[in-house]
Amino acid sequence: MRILIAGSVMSNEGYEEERLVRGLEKELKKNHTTDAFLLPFTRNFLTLPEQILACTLLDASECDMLITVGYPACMIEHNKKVAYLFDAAPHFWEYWDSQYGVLCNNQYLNIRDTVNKIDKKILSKADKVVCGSKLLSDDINKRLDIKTETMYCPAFDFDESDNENDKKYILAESELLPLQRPEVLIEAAKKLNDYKLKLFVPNADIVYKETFEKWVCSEGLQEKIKVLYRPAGTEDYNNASAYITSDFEARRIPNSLIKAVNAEVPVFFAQDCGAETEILKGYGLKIAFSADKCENITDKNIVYMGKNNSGAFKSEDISSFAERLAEL
Amino acid sequence: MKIALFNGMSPFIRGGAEILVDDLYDELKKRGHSVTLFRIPFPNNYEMPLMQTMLAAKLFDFSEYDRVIAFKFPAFYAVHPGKVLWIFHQFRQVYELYNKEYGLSDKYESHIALRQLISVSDKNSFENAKHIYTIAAEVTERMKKYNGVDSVKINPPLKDFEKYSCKAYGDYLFYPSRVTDLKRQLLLVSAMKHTKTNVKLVIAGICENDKYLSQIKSQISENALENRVVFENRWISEQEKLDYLANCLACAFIPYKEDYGFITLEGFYSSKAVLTCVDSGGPLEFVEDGKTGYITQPTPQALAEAMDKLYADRKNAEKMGQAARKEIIDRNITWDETVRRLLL
Repeated sequence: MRILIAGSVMSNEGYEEERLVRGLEKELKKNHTTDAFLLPFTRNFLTLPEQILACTLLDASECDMLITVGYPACMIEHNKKVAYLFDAAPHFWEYWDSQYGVLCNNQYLNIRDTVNKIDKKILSKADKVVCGSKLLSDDINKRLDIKTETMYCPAFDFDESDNENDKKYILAESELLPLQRPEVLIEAAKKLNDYKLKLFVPNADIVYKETFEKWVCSEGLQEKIKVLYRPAGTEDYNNASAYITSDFEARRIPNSLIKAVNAEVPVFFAQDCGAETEILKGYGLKIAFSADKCENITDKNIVYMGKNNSGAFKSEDISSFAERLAEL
Repeated sequence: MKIALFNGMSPFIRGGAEILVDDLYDELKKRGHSVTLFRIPFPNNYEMPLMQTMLAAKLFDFSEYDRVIAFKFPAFYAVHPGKVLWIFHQFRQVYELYNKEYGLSDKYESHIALRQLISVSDKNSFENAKHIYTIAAEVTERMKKYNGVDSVKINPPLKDFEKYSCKAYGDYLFYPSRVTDLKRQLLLVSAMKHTKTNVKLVIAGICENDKYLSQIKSQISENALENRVVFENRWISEQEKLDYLANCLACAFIPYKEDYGFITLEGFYSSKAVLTCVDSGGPLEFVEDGKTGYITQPTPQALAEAMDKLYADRKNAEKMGQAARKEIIDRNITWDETVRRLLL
C-alpha cells in the first residue's frame, strides 16, 4: 500500500506533529511504500481560512491512503483518510473570547463560522478522526457531530543533554505562550527553596522569549530559573525531582508530560490544565495546584509525593500506534 | 535565523533535488539555524489540480519565519518578504519542452491557457523575491530567455565529496539516475549495438514507466546485449554506487536539457571522464570535450564512437578522469559559500 503522511507544523508551538510524522514514516516504511511531507501553519486568526483553503487545494491522489497529522493538514482530501489531531484551532473554540483566544466580534464570528463549516464538511468525509485526548475527541464530536476515537500519542525521545549533574530541579517544558501561563512557573519557582526550576523551551517567539527573560531578572530569579532553549532530553527527565505543567484548558497532551509520566517523575499540575489530567488518572506521583496560588508547590511535597503507581498510564510504542492508525 | 525551506515533491520519488534540499537542511542546522523543510505534493494531472497546487503555494502563511528558501515550481510562489529562490527548474513542460516530445502542446486549448497562466505567475513570483539564484547556468539561461528575469547561479556542492574515490578504470560506463525518457538511457542502450569494442554499460536506477522499461529491455534482448549491458532497475545503495563509480571506465550522463545533475560531479570526484551530449544542459558546465570527457551528438552512432574511444584508449580515459578531478576541486564548490549567499 502507498501511504502518504501529511503534517502541519507550527514554528513556535509544539513539536509533536513533526515528531509523529517522522515516527509514522519510519514505522510504516517497514511494510508499506511511504512518503511524508510537512506544511507550515501559523496561528494567525485572519489568515486561518486561507491556510485551510491551501490544504484543501492540495492533491494527494498519488497514494492509496492518506494519514494527516495535526490541524489544518487534516483538510487535505482523500478517499481513504485518517486524520490525527492534537488540537484544532483552539483560539476559536476552547479559548474563544478569553484572554488566550480570539475576541468575540463580528469579523471573528464570521471566520469562526466559516472554519466550522469547512471542518464539518471535510472531517465528516474522513474514514477515521483520531484525537490525542479524550477532551478533544469529545469537543469535536459535539461541535461537528462526527465520530471520533482517542489514541494517546507515543512518547518521543530527545538525546540532547548538557552533561550537567543537576539533581534537585523541577522540570518544565514550554513555548512561553500566554496560554501556557509562564507567570505560574515564575510563582512556582518562588515557592521552592532547595529546588530550581529547569525550563526547557524548544521553540519560542522572540517576543515571548525576551519578555520572559526580563521578567525572570526583574524578579531576581536568575539563580532559581534555568532556561534551556531545546526540548528536554531523556536524561533530563531521569534526573528531575518533579515536573510541572501550567497549561490552561489544553486539548493537546504535550510530549513532555508523557515523558515525565513514563519516567515516573512526580507531577505538579494546574487543576485547570485540561486534557493532561487524563493520563494522570491512576498516577500516584501527582499533586494538583491552583494556578492563582500555586499553593501545593513546595519542597516538602516533592519529597513526600506518593509512590503508588499501580494502573498508571504507559504510553504506546510508535510501532503499534502506527499499525493501529493505518488499520482501516 | 528561523528558516523555512519550501519545495515541491513527487510523492514516493526521491531524486537529486530532494537529496540537495536535505543536504542544505543539514548544513543550515550545523550552522545553528532553526530549519524546517516543508513540501507540497505535485499533482500528476496538469489541469485543475496543478492550478490548485499553484494557488495553495501562495496561500500558506510563512510569517513566523525570517527567511523562506524555495526551490521548485510551484513552491517558489510562496509569499514572504524574505523569500529567496534557489531554483532547480521551472515547470519545464511549458517552457523549453513546450511543443516537444516531453512537454505540453498547442494542440490543446487547456495547455495554451496553462502555459499563459504559469508564465505570468512565475514572473510575479520572481518579482517578489529578495534574491533569485539558480542551481545551474542552464536554468539561468532559460529564465532569461523565457521570463526575461536575471538570476545568479550557485552550483550546489556535493555532500561528503571525500568519499568518492578511484580504484580502477574498468571496462564499463556507469549511468546512475532515475530511468526516464528525459534521462535517455534508451539512447545509450541503442548506442551499445553500434559499438565495435567490448565496452560495457551499467545503468542503475528505478524505472517507473512500464512502456519505457519494456523498450529498454527489448533493446537489450533484441540486440543480444545481455552480456554487455547491466540494468539494475532499482535504487542501488550508496555504497554500491560508490563502488560502481570507483571502478568504472567513465561515467555516462546524457539527459535532455538537464538542469544540473550531480552525476557529473560524482564522476569527476571519482576521477572519471564523463560522456555527455550537446543538448544535455547542466553537464556541459563542467565537461570539456576531449579534456574531461566527451560531448557528442545525441545519436546512437556518435555515442558508440565515443564509448569505443574511451575503451580503446584507456590511458586517455584515465588522463581525462584525473583532469576531471582536478577541475572539480579547483572550482571549490562548498557549502560555506552556498549558505552565505542564500542567507544574504
